Amino acid sequence: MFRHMLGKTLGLFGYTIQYGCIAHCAFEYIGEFVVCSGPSMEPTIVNHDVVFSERMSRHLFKIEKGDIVIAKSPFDPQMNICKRVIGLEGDKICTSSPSDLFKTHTYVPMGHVWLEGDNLRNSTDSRNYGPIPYALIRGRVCWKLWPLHSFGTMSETPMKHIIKAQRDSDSD
Amino acid sequence: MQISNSVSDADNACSFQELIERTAISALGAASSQHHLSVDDYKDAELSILQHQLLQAGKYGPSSSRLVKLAPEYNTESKLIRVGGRLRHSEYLDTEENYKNRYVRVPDGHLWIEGDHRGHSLDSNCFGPVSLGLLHGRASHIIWPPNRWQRIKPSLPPNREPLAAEEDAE
Repeated sequence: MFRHMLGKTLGLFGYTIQYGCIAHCAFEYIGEFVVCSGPSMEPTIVNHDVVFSERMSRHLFKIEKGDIVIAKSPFDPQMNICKRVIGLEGDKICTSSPSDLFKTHTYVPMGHVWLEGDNLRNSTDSRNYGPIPYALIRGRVCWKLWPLHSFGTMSETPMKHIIKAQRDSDSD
Repeated sequence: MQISNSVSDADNACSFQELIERTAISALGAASSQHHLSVDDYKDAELSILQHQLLQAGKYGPSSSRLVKLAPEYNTESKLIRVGGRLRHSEYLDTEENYKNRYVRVPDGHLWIEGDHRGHSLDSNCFGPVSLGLLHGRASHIIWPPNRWQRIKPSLPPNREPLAAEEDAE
């Protein structure tokens, strides 16, 4: 009787470890669900939205300009930030706001990316703390899952003109 | 520090063209016999001739040139340019910090890392503070080769204590 119970417990333990490992690999290499909070990506992602972020493009270095990414915060490794990639390494970024008289530019260093939130007025992003290392990126947001009325792939960026300007200045 | 000047004697050359040729060839040194001189080689030769002439005349080039910032002196006997200054990348140098600022405050959530072999290490002296999120792990033991089995003990090298530590606010 006792050996039967012990056998079942060990079996359960074994299954837990197996499924735990599979789940961990899935979250690490395939994708994860993220609950977003904060106003910095409105109107694309609003407070309490659930999105799915996939990991493969980060591991294969296929993150591109215009992608929304989840990254670890450079100042607090336990917090995550969700922003849009405006520039990759080597790009020239305009750091002055459109209302400034003199335009200032910076270049994104090697191995770094420049992030900005869609809600430019209410977002702390690379305009405040500078470009972040590529290795801090965790994944690329590809689907919005909740609320259900906006289920599906992310809508085109409202910052289309900035991304287009970046592409034009790259081809110069 | 001495930079040797490869400009050959101006008196021996019959024309400017020949001077440039000779300078470019001597700049290449041993490789000159197999190597056709490229446009860049000629440009470098022109530049070194110009600087050589300016130095001989006592003028050290435009004030924005990097050579001036190093306070150059031209030694006419040995034909060498001697400069002073602080080397930024050198394996023989024994300074505390080869970083662009003398004193650095490490920002929140960042680390300052240095290799133990100070002159020869690509570390925060080159790329600045490192974000904690990039930390992969901590080296705790050496396991190979077997004659070097040991526990790695954390210790700060001498003279590398932080100058002021942030007190945790309660």
